[in-house]
Amino acid sequence: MEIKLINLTKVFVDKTKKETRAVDNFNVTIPSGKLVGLLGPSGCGKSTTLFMIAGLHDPTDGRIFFGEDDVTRLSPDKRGIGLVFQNYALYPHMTVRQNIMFPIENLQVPKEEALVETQAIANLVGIGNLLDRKPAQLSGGQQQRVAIARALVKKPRVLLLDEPLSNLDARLRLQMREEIKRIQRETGITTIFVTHDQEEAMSISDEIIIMNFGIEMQKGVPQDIYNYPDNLFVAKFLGNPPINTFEGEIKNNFLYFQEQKLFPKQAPDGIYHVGIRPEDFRVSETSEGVEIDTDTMEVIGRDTMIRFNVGEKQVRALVESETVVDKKEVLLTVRDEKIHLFDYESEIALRKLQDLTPEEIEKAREEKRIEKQKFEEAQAIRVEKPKKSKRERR
Amino acid sequence: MKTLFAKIKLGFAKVSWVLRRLINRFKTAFKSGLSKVWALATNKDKRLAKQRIKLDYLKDYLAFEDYNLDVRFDVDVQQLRQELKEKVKTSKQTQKQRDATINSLKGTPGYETYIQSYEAAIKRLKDINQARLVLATQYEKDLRELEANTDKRINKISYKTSSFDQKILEVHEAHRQEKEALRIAYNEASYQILVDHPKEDYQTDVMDALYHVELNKAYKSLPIERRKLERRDKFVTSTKSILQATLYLAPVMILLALFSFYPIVNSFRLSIYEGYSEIDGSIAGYTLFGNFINVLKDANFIVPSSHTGSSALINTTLIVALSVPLTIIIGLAIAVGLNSIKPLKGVLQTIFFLPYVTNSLALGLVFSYIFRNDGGLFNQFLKIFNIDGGAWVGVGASYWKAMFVLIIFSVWNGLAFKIMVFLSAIQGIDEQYYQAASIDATPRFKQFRRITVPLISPTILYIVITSVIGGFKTYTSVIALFGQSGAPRGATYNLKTIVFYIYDFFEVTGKLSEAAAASIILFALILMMTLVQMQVSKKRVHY
Repeated sequence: MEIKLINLTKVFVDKTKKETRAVDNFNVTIPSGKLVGLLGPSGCGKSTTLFMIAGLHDPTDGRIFFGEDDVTRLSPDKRGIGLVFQNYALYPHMTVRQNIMFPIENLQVPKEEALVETQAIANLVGIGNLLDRKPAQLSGGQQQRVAIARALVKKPRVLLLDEPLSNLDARLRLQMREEIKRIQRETGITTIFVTHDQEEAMSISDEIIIMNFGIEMQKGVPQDIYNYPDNLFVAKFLGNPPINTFEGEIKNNFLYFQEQKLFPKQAPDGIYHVGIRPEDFRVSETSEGVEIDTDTMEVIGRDTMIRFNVGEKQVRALVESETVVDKKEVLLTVRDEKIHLFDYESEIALRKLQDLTPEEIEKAREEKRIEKQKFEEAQAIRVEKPKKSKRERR
Repeated sequence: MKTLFAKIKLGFAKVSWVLRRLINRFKTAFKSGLSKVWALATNKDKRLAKQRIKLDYLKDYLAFEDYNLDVRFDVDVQQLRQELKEKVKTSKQTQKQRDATINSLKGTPGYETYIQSYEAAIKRLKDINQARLVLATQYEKDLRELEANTDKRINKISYKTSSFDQKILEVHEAHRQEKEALRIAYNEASYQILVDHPKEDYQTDVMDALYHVELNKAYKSLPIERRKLERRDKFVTSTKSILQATLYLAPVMILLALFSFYPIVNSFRLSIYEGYSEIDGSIAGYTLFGNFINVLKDANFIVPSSHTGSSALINTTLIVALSVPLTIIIGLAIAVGLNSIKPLKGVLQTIFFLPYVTNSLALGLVFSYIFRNDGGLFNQFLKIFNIDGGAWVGVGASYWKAMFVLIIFSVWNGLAFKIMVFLSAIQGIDEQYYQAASIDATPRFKQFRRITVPLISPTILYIVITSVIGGFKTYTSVIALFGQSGAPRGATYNLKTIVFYIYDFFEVTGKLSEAAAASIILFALILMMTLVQMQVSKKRVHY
């Protein structure tokens, strides 16, 4: 089932008539049978998008298509979706069996058949032996499996998962990631999965959609997005340790930072936002490369984390421990294509900028300017009116 | 105006500050006094230290090298101790025999070597004890240092996910491992001490016994600050909480004692008196069941007599059986309705809560006007459908008509509170349950039956139990509707309830003992009903 969102917009109006655009003209096509991750920082509108697909929120504008059907105005029960809530929302007074059976009870399925189906789906998610327990008697991971089973049992066209792993501990999270991937592969249901954890999204999804301020930032295969970020936000958002960014200059195919000559880079001259991932640094074996004054050097097993200063900017480099021979003098190089350049004003990647017309570039720059201005205004308001704490009011 | 308020506030603040300081002073003085007394009275530190050494000894005795075996000790430590006691007992006896033999052997050949091996064994044990004591002291010290060095915050691990959790867990784990390593090191050293002192060929029983005797000495030489610390920790928490609890409980306990516990005890006392006189408190004698039998035989209590036409028990049972289910069904329906209405929610809630703040006597007056024979609102309403209502609460009203009004009144009187309680319970249900249900195409009534009702079932049980109790105690509604006679004017029956009946006993006839007996019967009735309800609800209520 291919899902198509066209100009999807959601505006929340609060009591003081202030508008918040949670999702803004969102256009995306989710391919059939794939596991797609909606990734973004908290408050970026990813859960709102999910709830609109589920039908629990009515979109302010735009349309939602499931295949050929327009489901924009359809109530949730008629859309044929399964939703797994962030805190699972299992009915605490029912046993696991009753919980899983609840959706198909409404479909007038004969009881024996429903029982068989429940058992089958429970076996699929690996809780076949826990059917007579109450949710409170299960661990977090097991509860999550029950929630998935409940969503799957009525054979939905689309499975939606709202931050399903955020309530689990680190080890269980790793395990459940693989489980979800396996279940999705076995059932072949189009699955949309919301998360703020980039590692989770990268490891599990066939495709990632990165969102911010209710707008799609980039969409694609995880590794592509990581290697070729479309804009500065995506570059900064993905990666741990985070990417090093600074404002640099290209002169004569060389990258400069505050008049300091760094690495060669083939690009038109100008000022750019520069991003270099820590792991893209290499220790030079020849005499080429930039000599750095190491601030600290931590050896973390296979890798070594080097912190060094370029001008006033601290930069992190993650290199293989074996390559660091002399700890005093380290020469670092970066491959040309691993240096990411972003347009200074619009923060769009240089690679992407070449495909755009001058008008579009100007528009993007204007939008960015307005955004920055708004941000500064908001900051100014906050400075003017400091919120009184409870203690002060007393 | 503002400055005035500020001044008043400041004044109050000062007063509260002075009061708080006084209370704190009193608290500390009282606490420190008590703590000294407590320390003298209990030898807890001694006991604890002794126990620890005993446990250590047990481990050695059973030749356990690793201290990780704590769990196994927990399982049958009692039995082990018992065995040990017996062993020590027998070994003491053998030691006595040994002493006797030593004395008798004096002067005989071979005595020298014998006494030598004996003394060597004793010396070995003493050495072991001494060395291990030093080790134990060092261990305590190291542990204390280690504990002092770890950050206190790290000891608390929150299970909510946060970015710091991993870090905290790591530090915690590292600390634990350090501790573990330290412990293992000390255990190994302790074992080494045992190995280093070669065993003399001597009877093990006596050695065990000697070992045991040494324990008291050993514990006495433990570092003093450690003992103190252990005592202080435990003491402060316990007395502080007891003191505070008593202080906070005192007002309500005093009031309860005056107005609840004393009357309860007193009514039991009264129920066994015969011919009790209220004026001088004199009694004619005692009877165990006499008063109860009098009450049960009374014409108006259980069996309706020919001239009354109804009995207190029948009246009360009717009120309970009809008004309780009615109020709960209506209350639940209104609460669910109120919850689903978005506009005017506050106004509607206020309207439905109004009867709760209204005096029930005033309500009764209004009701008796509504149900008047001529010109009453209810009869006029019936007139629209060409029905002649006739008398409801006035002269000539039939028993069932009067009862109908009484039940309507009880339902209305108790409805407001129930709606409020149900509403707050319903609002406490997580919205996501309904969202999940609506995705699964669950009809509204099924949502109510399968989700709402089970999730608020504890509240429903609470309301059922309290309203059954309330129903059995009905009194004011009868008074409010029918006045002191408890019946419509000129009626050949009455609508008196059990409480009404009890009141009649000591107000009208002055038979206090019978009144007490009747109230105990009522108590038994309510208790029985409540127990039955609890039993029935066990399977239907989901906590």
